[in-house]
Amino acid sequence: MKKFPTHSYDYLLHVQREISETLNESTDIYETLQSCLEKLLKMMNLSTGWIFLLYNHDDYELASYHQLPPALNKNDQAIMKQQEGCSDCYCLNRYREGRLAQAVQSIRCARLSDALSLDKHADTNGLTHHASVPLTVRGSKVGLLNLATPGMRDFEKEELLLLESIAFQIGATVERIRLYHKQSDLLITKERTRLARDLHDSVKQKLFALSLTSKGIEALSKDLPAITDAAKDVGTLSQEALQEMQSLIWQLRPEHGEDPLADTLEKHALRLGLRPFIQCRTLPLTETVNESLTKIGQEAIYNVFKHAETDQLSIVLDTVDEGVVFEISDPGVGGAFPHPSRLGMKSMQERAEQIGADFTVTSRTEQGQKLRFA
Amino acid sequence: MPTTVLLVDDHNVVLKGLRFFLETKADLHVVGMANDGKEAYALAMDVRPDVIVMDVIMPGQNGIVTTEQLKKDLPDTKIIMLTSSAEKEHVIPAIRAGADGYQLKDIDPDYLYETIVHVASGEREHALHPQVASQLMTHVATDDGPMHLLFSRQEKRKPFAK
Repeated sequence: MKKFPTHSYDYLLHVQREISETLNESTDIYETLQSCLEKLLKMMNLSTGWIFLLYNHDDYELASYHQLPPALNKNDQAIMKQQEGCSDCYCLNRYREGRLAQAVQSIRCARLSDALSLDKHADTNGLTHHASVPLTVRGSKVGLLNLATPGMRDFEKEELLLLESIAFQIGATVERIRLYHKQSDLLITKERTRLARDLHDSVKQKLFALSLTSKGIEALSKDLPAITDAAKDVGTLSQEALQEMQSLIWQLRPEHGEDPLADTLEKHALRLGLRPFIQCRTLPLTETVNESLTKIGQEAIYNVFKHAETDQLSIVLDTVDEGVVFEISDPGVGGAFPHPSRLGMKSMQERAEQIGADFTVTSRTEQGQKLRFA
Repeated sequence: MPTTVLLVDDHNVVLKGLRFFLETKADLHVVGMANDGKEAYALAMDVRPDVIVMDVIMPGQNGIVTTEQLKKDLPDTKIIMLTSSAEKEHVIPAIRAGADGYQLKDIDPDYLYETIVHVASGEREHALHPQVASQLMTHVATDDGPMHLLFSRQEKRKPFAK
């Protein structure tokens, strides 16, 4: 890269151009932010930087980072991600409370102080402060870009303008990428609905007709055992295909209704010929949590169907002591514990982890089984 | 005298398959086929079949409305719904309209034959697909649902007993 004095018109234009190009390149938010951050640091001759993305409530995410000092980087950047204690983070707090009035502000880093108070020999690379640049879109807070370098210098007037304009661009890019993904989710749902309808309207009817016809042939071919056998095979195959089709259609169909979770799980259980008791309170869950619970519920119902040797099960979603509890129980044979590594159990475990839920299994031979997610 | 059957479905491929299969049974005779409710009504009034095998979702007049009309005008004719929907929005109105049976289009054809024979002779046996039966059970059950079959309310609330 050519060296320009930081206040030169050429330099500013050059940085601006590079960043615009980077932000324009991808629809992967992490990839985009990461390469934008790296380029910016390099061009502005700074050592360290990171980007927080803000979500509803107090939720935030470390979306990208570059050359964090060991004190911040250790244990998978634990100190950069912790939710507890983040109320002490000066930059996020001041931003949330609207006290980050200036476009770029130098702030003492609470996380670095924390790291030092935990271990006074923690390696901070000599960093104590960072510059915080708010990322906003249409006035709403999207995230925070933090920049630091040992012996943090003051930015020149032109650099401040540059950072301000880059912050606007990053904000708009975050918004663009979020909208892009929302749009593709919508398209996927639409396409799935269409597929389900097509399968239902044409393929399923034809398979049923096929199964009827093969039975007819079977009946007419009494004296021709070779044909009878073949017709039986066709009949069995078409029955199997019908069942599979049924479950495919069911999986494809997006669920509507007032209580999609309860509805979905009930239909799933009924479809398998089980007698479910479902009591799900309508809770303001996020789409991700709702989807995970649906998938976990389906898996659990299928396990009851396959292993429990009973057709009764109970699924309860309720609030207990400010937390949410999702419980699936059956009075069947139990005994899942000898095989906790089975794929189904494992995938439930993983899904539970994804939404930050604790997963416990109670299962005793001959005494049923209970799965609990809290 | 074989049992006379009228088939109603908007999918011709299903009608053809049904007729082919049912005609292999000596005790059944397919007397007509219709593609929608209106056609089915007119044909049924004409041929007065013992049993009608009726699809639920059809363009024009659906199977539920047609069943209600036919049950009024041909009270002796038995009507079996044959559809791919086990949704409660279809099952419950169909039973209320007077359907004598409700089967799904993933049923084993032999079982469908059993249903027709049993329903024709006025028996309830085999009339409902297991999925339809459990759908009905769930929605007829009290507010608490069939919970008493599983655990008492007290036990359900208890945190994990070791």
